[in-house]
Amino acid sequence: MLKDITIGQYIYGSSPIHRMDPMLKLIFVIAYVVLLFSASTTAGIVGAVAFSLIIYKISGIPIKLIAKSLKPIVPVVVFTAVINMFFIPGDPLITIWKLTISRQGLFYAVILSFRITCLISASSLLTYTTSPIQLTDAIERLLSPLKKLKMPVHELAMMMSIALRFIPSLIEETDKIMSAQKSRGASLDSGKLREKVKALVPVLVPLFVSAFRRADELALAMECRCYRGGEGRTRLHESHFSSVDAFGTAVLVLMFGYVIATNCLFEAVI
Amino acid sequence: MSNIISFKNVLFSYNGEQEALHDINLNIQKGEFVAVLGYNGSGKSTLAKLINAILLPGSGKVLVDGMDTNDESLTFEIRKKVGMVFQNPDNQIVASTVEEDVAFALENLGVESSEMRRRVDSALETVGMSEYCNYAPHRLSGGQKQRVAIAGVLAMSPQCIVLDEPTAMLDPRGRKAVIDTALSLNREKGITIVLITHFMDEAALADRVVVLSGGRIAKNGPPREVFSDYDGMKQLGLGVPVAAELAQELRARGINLPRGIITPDDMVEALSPCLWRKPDERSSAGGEY
Ligand SMILES: Nc1ncnc2c1ncn2[C@@H]1O[C@H](COP(=O)(O)OP(=O)(O)O)[C@@H](O)[C@H]1O
Ligand SMILES: [Mg+2]
Repeated sequence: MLKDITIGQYIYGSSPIHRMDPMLKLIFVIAYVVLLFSASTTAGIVGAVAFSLIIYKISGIPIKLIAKSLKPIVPVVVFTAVINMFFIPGDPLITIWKLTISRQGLFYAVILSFRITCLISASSLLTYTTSPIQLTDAIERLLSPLKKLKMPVHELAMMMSIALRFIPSLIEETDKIMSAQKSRGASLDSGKLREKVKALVPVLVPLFVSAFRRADELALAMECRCYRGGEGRTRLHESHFSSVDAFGTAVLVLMFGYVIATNCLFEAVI
Repeated sequence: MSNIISFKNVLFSYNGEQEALHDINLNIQKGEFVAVLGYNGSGKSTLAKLINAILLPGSGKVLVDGMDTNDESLTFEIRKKVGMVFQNPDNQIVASTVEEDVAFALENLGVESSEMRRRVDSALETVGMSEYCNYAPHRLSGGQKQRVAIAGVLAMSPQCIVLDEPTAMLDPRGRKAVIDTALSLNREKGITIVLITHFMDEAALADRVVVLSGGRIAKNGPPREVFSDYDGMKQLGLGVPVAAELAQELRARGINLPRGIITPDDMVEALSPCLWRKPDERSSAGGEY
């Protein structure tokens, strides 16, 4: 019953996007968002949108999945679009009762929708093509300068990756405990909400106890394998700046050049 | 100096009142395969944890390849020399893929990444898990996880591996795979093995059996000798290997079998002469040869 929960939305693949250094990917997504919001001409925005479509194509992630990841944000997009449509002053286009839609407002709404959509699809692409563990690693590396400020970056990343590693084990365990309680006559899926919540207590208590026991044993196993924090640690998968990374960087720099050029050359629409 | 591990008058207590281990004296030689037996709570795990400085003796000394576990500066040297594998395969795999887990110890030790790759591959090959190198641990069977755990220890190139009931949670096939792996590490690579187990048939494969009882060493000798004392073992709350049990039953029915039958092979050898005799001779003269 709980088996089919998947963690994150990583989709295995070997496209250049998958192979790119996760930390670089993370930086690129941030850079792309900056790009998206700094493009102020039609040509610039169209370019940025087209760029994300091309990257999706290269990654081999089915278009259906973007639609899926966009679904939850449709209301947000519609809401912001409508608000902007009515409240940006400018040349009136249509007047409904007391509300006026201006030309600029409509334009702005459309562009904003594009921006939000692209922002979400870019960050989904990151999670589609990067496993949670790689992502944790990337965050650790990205934040590693903070270690100098005595921030426990390594410890946080280690905790996150262990949590990710143990999620399937704990789900399995929950399943087992639920079966055990059901076989003793507990009814877990019927009754009112209050009863349901109450019925969860005999599931959660053993789960917590077992999680603590696991933590104890895991700590012991880590100690036996010479774990002593992040100091002087090396990694099996050391990231090297590969040709994919170089190519990606070049493309992104070109994209920035393009947006800056369009911003200078054409009249801003936003 | 061929002792890899030696306990000298070791006392240990968890809470200061009750002693979990009393005055243990034990030497384990390089390349030996030692099985440790004892009922639950007899102090087996405590003994294991004393070997690689997870616990420190209350009094007495534990030496690992001549290094005193009390010396903090040697702790990591000792842990590199003596690897540990625990009972629950789920709770000792740290990373999200098999190969990264095997690399965990090497990452901690700061081994350089190309060297690490080589050692991870060779460790996985030794335990026969190469094809699973990119699997997530929860997709493996218990026996496979346990072999991954062994590979994780093996990658450190230890001289000794301590396995604390590694087969307790496994099915017979997983159990066999793990024991075969331990045996081949001992026979082919000369790695000292300390196997804590409840399975007498596994202990029968060892060079030496140490039996703990109430925190003391009750027996210490070759399996043939230890398991020949059927009544003594029963008194310690333990059994004997299936073959020894069968031999005991047959003896009780008046069939005269030699002492020291502990494996099925011994049993076959002891019984086969009977089969070559005529039926009327067989009943009278059992396995008397
Ligand atoms: N963490 C602990 N704290 C207190 N007492 C413990 C602890 N671990 C084990 N003991 C006690 O020490 C004795 C030996 O335990 P242990 O070495 O785990 O035995 P075995 O592994 O042979 O079952 C037992 O009496 C047990 O109750
Ligand atoms: Mg134990």
